[in-house]
Amino acid sequence: MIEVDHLTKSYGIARAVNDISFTVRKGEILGFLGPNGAGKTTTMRILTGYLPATSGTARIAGFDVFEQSMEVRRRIGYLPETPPLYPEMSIEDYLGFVARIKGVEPGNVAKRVEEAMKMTNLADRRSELIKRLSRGYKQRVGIAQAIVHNPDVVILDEPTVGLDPNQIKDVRNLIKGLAGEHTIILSTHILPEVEMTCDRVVIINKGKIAAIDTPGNLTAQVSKGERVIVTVRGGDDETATKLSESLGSVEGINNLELQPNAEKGQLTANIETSHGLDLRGQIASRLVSGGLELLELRSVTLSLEDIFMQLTTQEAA
Amino acid sequence: MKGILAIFRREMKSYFVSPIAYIVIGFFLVISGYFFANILSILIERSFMAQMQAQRMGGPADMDVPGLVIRNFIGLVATLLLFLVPMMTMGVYSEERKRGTMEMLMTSPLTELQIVIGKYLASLALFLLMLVPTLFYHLMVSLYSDPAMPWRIVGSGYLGIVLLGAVLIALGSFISSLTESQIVAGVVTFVIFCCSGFSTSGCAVHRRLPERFSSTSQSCSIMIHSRRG
Repeated sequence: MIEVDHLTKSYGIARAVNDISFTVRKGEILGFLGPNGAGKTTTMRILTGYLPATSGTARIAGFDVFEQSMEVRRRIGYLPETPPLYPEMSIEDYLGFVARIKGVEPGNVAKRVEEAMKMTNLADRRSELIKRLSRGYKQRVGIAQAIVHNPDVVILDEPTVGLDPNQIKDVRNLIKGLAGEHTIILSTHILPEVEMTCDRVVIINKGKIAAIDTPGNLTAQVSKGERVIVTVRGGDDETATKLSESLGSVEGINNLELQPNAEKGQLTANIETSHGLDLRGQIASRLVSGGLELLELRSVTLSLEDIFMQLTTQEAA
Repeated sequence: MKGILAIFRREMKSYFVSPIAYIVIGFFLVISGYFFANILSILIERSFMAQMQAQRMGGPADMDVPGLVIRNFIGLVATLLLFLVPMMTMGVYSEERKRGTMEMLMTSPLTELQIVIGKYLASLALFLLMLVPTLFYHLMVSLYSDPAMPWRIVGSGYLGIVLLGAVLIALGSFISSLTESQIVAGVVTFVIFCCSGFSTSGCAVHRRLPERFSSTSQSCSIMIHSRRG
């Protein structure tokens, strides 16, 4: 449905988007993940035909976004970072206007507006002026605006930013409901959002793609090992040496990171182990036999958040 | 065409939802009505004097009253437009840019030309709506006028003012597209109108400019062109 091929966008000498390529299949939800300023919005603006690319091509439903912009525009719905609303209009009027400029046949406008309002739960406030709506409702109107002409592709730039947790949940469910029929690209810098809603993730950093895969695969791929966190009593150097010594002989530990906490009199160790090994029992017995008072021991799997941190900071290093 | 119509309708609606249209039209009608009455009474007085003089000295009273009324009235309207057109056009594009709706318009399957034409026609329609009630003044006068009202003069005067308005609206819309701030757009538009409007040959600025510049800026002067007619 969407093919992006070696896309580059430069502002002067700065490269906002640097040679990115990816494809999105029909009915898929693709998450665009990256820190602020990574090039998410720029990529989306190129896809919608708002900005021209410096080089490379992007095709939506087989149409080039630059050469056949009108065909592409008919097929996409776009929610920019700030929802493009006219505060003095009512929800219904506004959606009607958008439907008309998006090329919905005059006879179908009312029907499409009705449908978009139903999908975004706006029907009971249809005649309210947009300026009187809360942020969450405005965001919903923004989404309704993006789907009112029933586009093949929906592009949402940070659809949940600035919403409260309940509203975020609503919006996520709404987006999930749109998938299948529509192909969706959404950008975010909130990680759980991607894990929850997206089929695939593109992690983008400094204009380059750092990783692209399903959230599950990414977790498996990047976490080269398991991680065990232990806490023992005693925040002084002596405890630290004791701990390192007693764990030194355990095979399979790749990295040991100590975080003493003198105030609480505790020492926390962050232990990374080889993939597929469960060393919890061994670690526990070594620590106890080493004369340390074990307070806590737990294993953690790397979350998307860790992967993200790893990928985006590796780049910088 | 459908796209142009959609833009046009939204623009018109937003003019009349906000107080702008009412303020502009109301202000215009009050001022123009007041001055029309003034112009009329002064000219009637003068033509009366001219008539008396003519009777005393012999020979016909030679005064083009309808021509003078129209010329003065059009001059007044032109001056008012310098203030009112910036108010009408200052938000046309700057507001869209500020609200982020420009991004929506530009990513919708409309060409730039459709957007521009839709918006321009809406501003022009508001301007015509403002102007049409003033025709009533002339209608009233024509009821009492003897000899009959020369509508050709009125018509050509109005043609001139409509064209002047069309130019100013185009210029104001263009300036509005350069900034995100309505205020900046409004003030810059007003200043540019004033520079082009009042830079007649008798103007102080012109007399101080070297010959070469003065002729250039005079040919830029919209008002001179509108007065020559």
